[in-house]
Amino acid sequence: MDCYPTMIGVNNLSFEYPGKRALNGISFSILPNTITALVGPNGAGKTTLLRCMAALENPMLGTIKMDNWDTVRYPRKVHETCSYLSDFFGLYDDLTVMQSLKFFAWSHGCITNTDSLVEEAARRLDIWEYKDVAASKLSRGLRQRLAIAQTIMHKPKILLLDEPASGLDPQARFNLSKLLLSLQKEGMTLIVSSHILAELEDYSTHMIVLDEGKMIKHCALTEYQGPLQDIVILKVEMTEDAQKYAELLKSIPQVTLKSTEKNVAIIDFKGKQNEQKELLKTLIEKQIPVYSIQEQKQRMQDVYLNIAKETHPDKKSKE
Amino acid sequence: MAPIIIGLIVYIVYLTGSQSSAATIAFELACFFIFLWGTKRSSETVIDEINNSTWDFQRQSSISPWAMTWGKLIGSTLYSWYGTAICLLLYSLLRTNTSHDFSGQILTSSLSISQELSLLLLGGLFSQAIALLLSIQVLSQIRREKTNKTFRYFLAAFIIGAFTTNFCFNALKGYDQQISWHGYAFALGPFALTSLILFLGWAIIGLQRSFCKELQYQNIPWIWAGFNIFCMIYFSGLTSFQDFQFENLHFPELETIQQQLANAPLYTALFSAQLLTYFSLFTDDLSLIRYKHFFSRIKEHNTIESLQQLPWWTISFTLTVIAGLIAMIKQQGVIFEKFSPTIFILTSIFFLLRDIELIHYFNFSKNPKKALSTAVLYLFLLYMLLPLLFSALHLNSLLPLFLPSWGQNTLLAFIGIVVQLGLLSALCYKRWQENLEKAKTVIKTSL
Repeated sequence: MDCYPTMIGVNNLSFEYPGKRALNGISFSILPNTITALVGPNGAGKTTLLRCMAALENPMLGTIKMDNWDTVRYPRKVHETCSYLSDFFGLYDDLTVMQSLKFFAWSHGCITNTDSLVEEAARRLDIWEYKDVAASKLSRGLRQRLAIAQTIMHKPKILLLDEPASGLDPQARFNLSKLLLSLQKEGMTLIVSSHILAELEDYSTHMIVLDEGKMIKHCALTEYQGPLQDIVILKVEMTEDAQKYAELLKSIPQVTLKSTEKNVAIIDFKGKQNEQKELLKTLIEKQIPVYSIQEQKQRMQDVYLNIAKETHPDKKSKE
Repeated sequence: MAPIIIGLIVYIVYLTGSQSSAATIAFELACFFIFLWGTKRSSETVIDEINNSTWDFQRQSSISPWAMTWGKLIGSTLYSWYGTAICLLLYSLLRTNTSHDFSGQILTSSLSISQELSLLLLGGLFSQAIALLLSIQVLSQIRREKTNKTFRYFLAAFIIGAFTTNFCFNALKGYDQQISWHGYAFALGPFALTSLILFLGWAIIGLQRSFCKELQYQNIPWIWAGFNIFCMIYFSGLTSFQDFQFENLHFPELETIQQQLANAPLYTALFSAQLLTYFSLFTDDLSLIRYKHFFSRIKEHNTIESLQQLPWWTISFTLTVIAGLIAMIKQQGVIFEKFSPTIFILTSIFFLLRDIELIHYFNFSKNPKKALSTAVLYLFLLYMLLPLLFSALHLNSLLPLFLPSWGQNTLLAFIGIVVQLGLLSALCYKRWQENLEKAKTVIKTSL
């Protein structure tokens, strides 16, 4: 782990509200240029965790480092480095879109090139055409887009979004996914909390599952090449019925057969990407008629439901 | 529209009355803009941000605490200052161009225009700073509410600001009046003005520190300690009567009375510290969570962060005890007409300690939102209703159970207050334990 730079480091974090422990001994680290989906049932502690990371609340125990800045000791550096959008955000209703964005640029110390920053943010969120419309006159979806534009205005290194897609129509959700992916490409590290797993699936590289204030799971979801990725799901396509080769597949040490359907076998492969060529070699050696191997993205829904089943075997998943 | 409306009002008064009455109405309109409108806006500015869920955006901005202090103090009340400027311009013009005598009219005096305007602006700023300061003290408790009201902060600030400004106006009018402060004689007017400037300074420093806290800066509360010491020194200076002479009076207790008067500053300092202890109990965060933070930092042997989490009341209460001890040592053995200063000081400190526990007990409850109002109700019951009831029933000998004793029924007084302290300590401890148990249950469930 140490050879990878950590963008966010949370260590033994605990937080309490009167009569309730909202977070309990949470530890994880997040790598740069990743999008982490923060999921969990209502009251799991997602918002509290995001607020602690944004240096808006002080943890009772534990430490949080955002780009190596401790949130308690250097809260203003954290405010510079990261930006947080609450699920219940507000806007300055009397200001127009343009004025709102300018105000946010100035309040974040972006004094020069304000106009170009404003235009860039507004165009990214497709609200440039509403630049002269008062925030109070905007629809819910447009308000959401304005809030996101305000949040990314000063180009923070870390972006924390709490339910960013609520209130957005399907097209706007699609655009949001595109936006988040482009922000990731530009070097931003994102944590996005949402109830809607399908929407997170489009862009998340990792997933953190919280339940009753505890972290249940932190895993990678995609082909992302990081230290968390030690098991990948592979789709092995053959020229014959895959079921015939099930036992042979099971005999390979790094492989766990998950399912077979017609000419396709789905396997869990424990190993890094460069070890996959060894796997291919082994398959051929064992005379398995393979003609293609593809990495498959874990379905977030499946991962989450499996975790929920493991965590609460006696009851159905809460979501 | 503002200039037209203000101009019309002043012009109508000018036509129907006189130039001096038009000047007076312009002055009163300025007072309205400063003390009513401006103070109201000032009390609402941050609370409105909380209600509209925009405050977190500002907390994350790169605005510095000082910039935020001036921005909120002047920026939020800009329109009221605009109205004030128009009114004061008209007032200046009308006063300059009239030979009328202003005596007998509200707030008009022998003061020069520049003196009046400076005092009004300082008083207005003081009133608005107090409103803003009071409103931001409660932010940590109301952060998740959407319908917070600000009337009480406005009312308190309006009363303090208007009273202080009026006092300063009257003080400046009586140039020949003197005031004794710690035995030194000062002209009342400049003294009042200097006091106003000093307290305005403290209010602005208080605002800056409060915004620091909102922006998550961690500070040791030495500013609060400084303000406490300042108040103790300042107010005790106003009651220094050591040079007071009873001319041509000779009676046996004269020496004791003079001794008591000489010690008056100590009592004032003690009383100031006690008042500030109550103020801190009603404004600072007294939640269980804050104490957990505090004890966690102590466990970690993190002195700086422990001090940052130190509740303000501990500072004021320590100063109360110090002032009380000094007063007791200075008056050891003094008894005047059955009044024992030592017993009075001791019991009043014990009663303060009881109230500290009582307020904490309500703050440790499941619904701490109503802690303050419940505490006020109980304090009213303990200090007002029950003593009145016992008086009405001719049970005056039992009054030391509810009020600090000054020597009457001493044994009952001490037994009573010790029992109350023990009971409240047990109740607070029980609530603390319940909370810990609940937290443990949550952990076990989640495991």
